[in-house]
Amino acid sequence: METESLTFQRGCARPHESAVAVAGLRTWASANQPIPAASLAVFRILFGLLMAWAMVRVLVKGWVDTVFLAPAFHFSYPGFEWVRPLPAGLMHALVAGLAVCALGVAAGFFYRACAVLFFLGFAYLELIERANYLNHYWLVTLLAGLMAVLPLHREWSWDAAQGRVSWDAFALAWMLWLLRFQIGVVYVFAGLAKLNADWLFRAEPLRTWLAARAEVSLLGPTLGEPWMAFAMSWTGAAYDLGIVFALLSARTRPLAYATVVVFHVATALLFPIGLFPWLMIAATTLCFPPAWPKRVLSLGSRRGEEADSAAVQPIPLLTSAATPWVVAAITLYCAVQIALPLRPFLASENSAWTGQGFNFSWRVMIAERSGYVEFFAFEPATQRRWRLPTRGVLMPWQERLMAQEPELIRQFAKYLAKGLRQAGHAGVEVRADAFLALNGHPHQRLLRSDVNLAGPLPADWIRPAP
Amino acid sequence: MNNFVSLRLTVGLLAVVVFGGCQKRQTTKTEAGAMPSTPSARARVTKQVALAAIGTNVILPALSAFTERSATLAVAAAQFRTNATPETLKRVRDDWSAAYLAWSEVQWIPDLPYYNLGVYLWPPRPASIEGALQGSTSYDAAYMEQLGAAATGLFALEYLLFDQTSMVRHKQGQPVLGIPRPPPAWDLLNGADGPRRRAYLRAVAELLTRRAREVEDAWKPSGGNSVGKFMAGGQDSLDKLINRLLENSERALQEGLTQQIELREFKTFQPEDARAMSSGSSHRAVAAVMRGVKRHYNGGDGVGVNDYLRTLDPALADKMQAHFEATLKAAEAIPAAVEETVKTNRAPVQATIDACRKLEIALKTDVVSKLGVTLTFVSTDGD
Repeated sequence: METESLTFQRGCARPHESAVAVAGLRTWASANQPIPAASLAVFRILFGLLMAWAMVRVLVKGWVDTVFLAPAFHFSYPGFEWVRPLPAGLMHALVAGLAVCALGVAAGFFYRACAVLFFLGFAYLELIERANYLNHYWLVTLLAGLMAVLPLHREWSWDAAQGRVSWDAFALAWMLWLLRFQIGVVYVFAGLAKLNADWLFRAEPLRTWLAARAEVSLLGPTLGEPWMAFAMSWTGAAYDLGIVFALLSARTRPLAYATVVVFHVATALLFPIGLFPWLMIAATTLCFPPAWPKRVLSLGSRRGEEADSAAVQPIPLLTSAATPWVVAAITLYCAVQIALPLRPFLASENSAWTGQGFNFSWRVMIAERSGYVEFFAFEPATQRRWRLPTRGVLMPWQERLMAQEPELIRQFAKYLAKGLRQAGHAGVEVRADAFLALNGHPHQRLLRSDVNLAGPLPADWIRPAP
Repeated sequence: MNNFVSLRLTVGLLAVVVFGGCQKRQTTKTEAGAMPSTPSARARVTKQVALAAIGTNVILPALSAFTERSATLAVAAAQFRTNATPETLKRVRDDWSAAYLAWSEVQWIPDLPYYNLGVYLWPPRPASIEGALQGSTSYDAAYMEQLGAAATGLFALEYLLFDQTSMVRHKQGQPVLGIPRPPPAWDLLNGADGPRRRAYLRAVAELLTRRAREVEDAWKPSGGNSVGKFMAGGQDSLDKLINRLLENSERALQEGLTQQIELREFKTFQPEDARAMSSGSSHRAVAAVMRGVKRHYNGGDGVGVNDYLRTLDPALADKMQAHFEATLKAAEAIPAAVEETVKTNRAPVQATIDACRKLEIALKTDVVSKLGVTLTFVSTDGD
């Protein structure tokens, strides 16, 4: 395989080329530096084990049934309406299979196949039910996708030990930085999302959530104090905005990581947020120097540092022909990852109210939304209006989540309209009485009650946020 | 970010956690045994105090009342068995109504296994009941225990006690003519099969009492102490209570009120759509249901969820109190069985629907949000 080294790339930069191109080439050159692969391998192992645990948890808690199989109606993503759950036996087998794939990822056992299958399977699960969206599921999907294309199995893996892939203690720097970028995007945009009036000046929704946990031993009574909510709101925002930078700095790293552990363990104890805290505790190790696991294993000897200093060997990972495609793919990926969470900042209305641009934007734990929705059929010709029941079609958890998000309400209205048409009510509209309380504000009407949600929507079908 | 800022952030967070953890418990908590009564004391109500008061002042007395009413009904049924007169039948019917209304106030209790309890299955299955009346098997406890919920429970008793003449299929909103009507209950209870029918009535009433006592024992501190777990359950208990209130008040609103109007409007009414139709007590049940919601929310005459809510948002607490008052007043103003009232006078039913709906919207949005009843995290994780 033809290889491309730092020297080769530098050699390509001629004096007449523009400064931008030179800078670009230099950036790529430094990104293409070989680095110890140990930290990537450790992340692979931790991620795989966490995902295996997560899949077992899905099975044990019965979520295959309650989330995927029990609902008669599934909320869908645009373009993915065709995604439907498999029969019960296959759904259970799929989740069990994903746990096995995750273990394969951790062990580096047929890593490529396991990583690709895990990514596809997990994404499939997420696409089945839109109401089940969680930020950390989205993060898992992204990380799994990256791992499916990155060769993280060349160090400390079954594949390398068995000679299925050539053992190599080095990876390219951009691989690590791409993962760091992903983690950084999560934290930074989560921090930016917290810079809003409710979070900063009313300490909501933390104030409500902390007060609800006032019976927790030791900390409990203090959690209900307003000053505590404010302290944690401001500290939380600062933490999200700065933690990645603190982790990347050698001086602040030990304290910063201790903070990561304290912060995420605290959130795990206080809020039912599943694997997210543990995922972030694992993922932030990517901000450590790439050779940190070897240093730890060598218990303070100089071997780890030697590994760092030895990171100058070119490795056969990327052909020169592939380089432009890789650069383009990375650039596109990064652009999308920045563009998606920017959407709420460009919207005229609060995305927590409209739901538009709220998902895939790392707006983590910034909204306490409690909604109410009731659907009505309306016959314009006779002005007759009657209630359309939702029970029996939607699971209670779907109803509650639907009531918080206009788009989900609209999707279900379309479903109801289809049912009405099939029952012979061709000209009947579907309207909704929807109310929402956001972050402790008194409830307000969420949608215009005179709009046919199953038809073309006027621009103001969502009422302004209070 | 420079190191100084990073260090400050870290120290700040750690200080908040450590300092917070070392804070002494505030004196805002009132001990569960001493229910505050003065306005100043009420203003300091904590969640634990509210739950303790609800457990002590509402749940246990409500379960006790249901057991008592069931036992009274069983005694009346036993007397009716040996002395069948119109007067003793009236007494059994009255006692059945009292037990039914007592149950209507009990059903708000979280974790109450009332589906398994077999006291509230609607509609009852006449074929199952009539099947149990055939033959000569003795109605001893062992036999009764193995009967299904469709042949026992409150609505099986209603079937036996009240005339089923109106419980016939409807077409276009009217009873279908020409269908043979069942004889009046008195004729059945006093006819050739009367003794066996009355024996079965008594056996079902006794089974109901046993079930009521089992539930009460499971909740008593001297028994299964479910009340202790509820009172100590903190946010989990509050979540369950509010969810239960929401779930059941919605069912009462939809099935007990809204549906009755819609079924008449669309002329699709059938007798199984109106719970407790033969006893004509659906309006009293709606009022009892609302009384039950209010009692469980308010903690009866003591301290309740609303007092805890008042510590978080006094204006919302006042608003909720007004919603409860309005709803209960509207429900109590329905003059007769809901399914009958809507035929001629929808206004009181519609007024109750409107009041209930306002209450439900406020509960589902404002109260849930303010109390941190995290419906957001229902079913799976959240973030």
